[in-house]
Amino acid sequence: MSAYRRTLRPLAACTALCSFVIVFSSCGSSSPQATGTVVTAGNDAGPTVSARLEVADVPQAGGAALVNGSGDALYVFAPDHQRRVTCNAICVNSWPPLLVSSTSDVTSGPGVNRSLIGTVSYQDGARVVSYDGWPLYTYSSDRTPRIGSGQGVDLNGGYWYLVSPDGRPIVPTGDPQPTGPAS
Amino acid sequence: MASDSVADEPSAGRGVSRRALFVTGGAALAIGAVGIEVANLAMGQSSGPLPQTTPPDVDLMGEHGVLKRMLLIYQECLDRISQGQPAPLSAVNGAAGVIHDFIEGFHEALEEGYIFPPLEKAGRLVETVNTLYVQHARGRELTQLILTASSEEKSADSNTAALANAMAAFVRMYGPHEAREDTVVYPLFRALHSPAELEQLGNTFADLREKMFGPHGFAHVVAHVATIEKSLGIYDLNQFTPEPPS
Repeated sequence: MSAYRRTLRPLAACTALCSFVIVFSSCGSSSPQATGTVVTAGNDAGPTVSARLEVADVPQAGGAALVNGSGDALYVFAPDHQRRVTCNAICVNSWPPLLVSSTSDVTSGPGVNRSLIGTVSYQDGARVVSYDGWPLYTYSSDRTPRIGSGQGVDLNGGYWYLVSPDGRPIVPTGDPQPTGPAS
Repeated sequence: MASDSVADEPSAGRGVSRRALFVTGGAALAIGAVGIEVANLAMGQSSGPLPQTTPPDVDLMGEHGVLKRMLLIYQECLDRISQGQPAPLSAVNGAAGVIHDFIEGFHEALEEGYIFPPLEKAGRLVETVNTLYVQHARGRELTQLILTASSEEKSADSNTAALANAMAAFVRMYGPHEAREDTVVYPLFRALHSPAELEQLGNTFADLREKMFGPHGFAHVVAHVATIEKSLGIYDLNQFTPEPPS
């Protein structure tokens, strides 16, 4: 690792833990993954109250993976350690969390294990949908439903993985397995 | 005459913040707005006080300057590889690290959070913006490959070929990418927003940068870029000046 990366990356990682509100009131979002479920810095609609989980074939997952109601692939963030949202600040611009008001506002399709659905707290009283404890996110650069171009990407302080219907992060061969809260 | 001075580089140790760099020393970048204001004053008109904050598009174009220098570093490395020289892995890895942390983790996130969504909402440049999003994703994949391949101490031939292909693809994509943003996307974004909105967003950008990289983050990045360029012998700007045409 270069000297630059040693000095700047901890700063970036630290910042990812600092929660603060990002507001640019004149902006809005109409990106596909924003439909009904996500908030980015440029979204002036506020958190929506419901979300839907489905299972679909996602090529980058090598098979079935979780998607939202619009078909956008859903990801987990390894630094979340299966318990909390650590993608904050600028990170949410690229990885909008799947927001709801409560667990009861999450509907699901065939193949989704409802017992794994939950929520974790987020900023400003919002909640993020979780699956087996992992907070769920979409990826701004996924411009087509059921495409997981963020699979295995190392960005904003850690690795991002698609999620299998049984709740496991789908980890490419050779990548470290994300650890849960006990680690 | 060759010069190796870094006196013109923003120094991380000189207490120059990114915001101050542009507000007080960025006359060249801000020349459009200032020029209009000067012209108005000359005609006895005034459009209001000079902006106190770096406009967000100007900020982003400064960051594009960093990206352009990374592309030049990649191109130099590609030229050496094509000439049969060893891949300068340390320089490649250093440049990819800057791209990963500063461009992909910060600059592009600003665009994805603040620049692209209002254009989409306005129904403007929708296809272009869509392509820019996809290119961000592809660039991140390439950078991950480049970081991995350049971290190997001894690069096998096949690894060097993969590294070269990834760098070439990155250079080919990001030249047009940033040029389109500078000349089409950012100007339209600017035209769609009021001065007050732009000032608010400029402050937001500055705050985010400081939170993420510290008060002198941009200066640190530029200084690191200069270090990589020097390691390759491409820092001296004068070497790129051609002889007078005969």
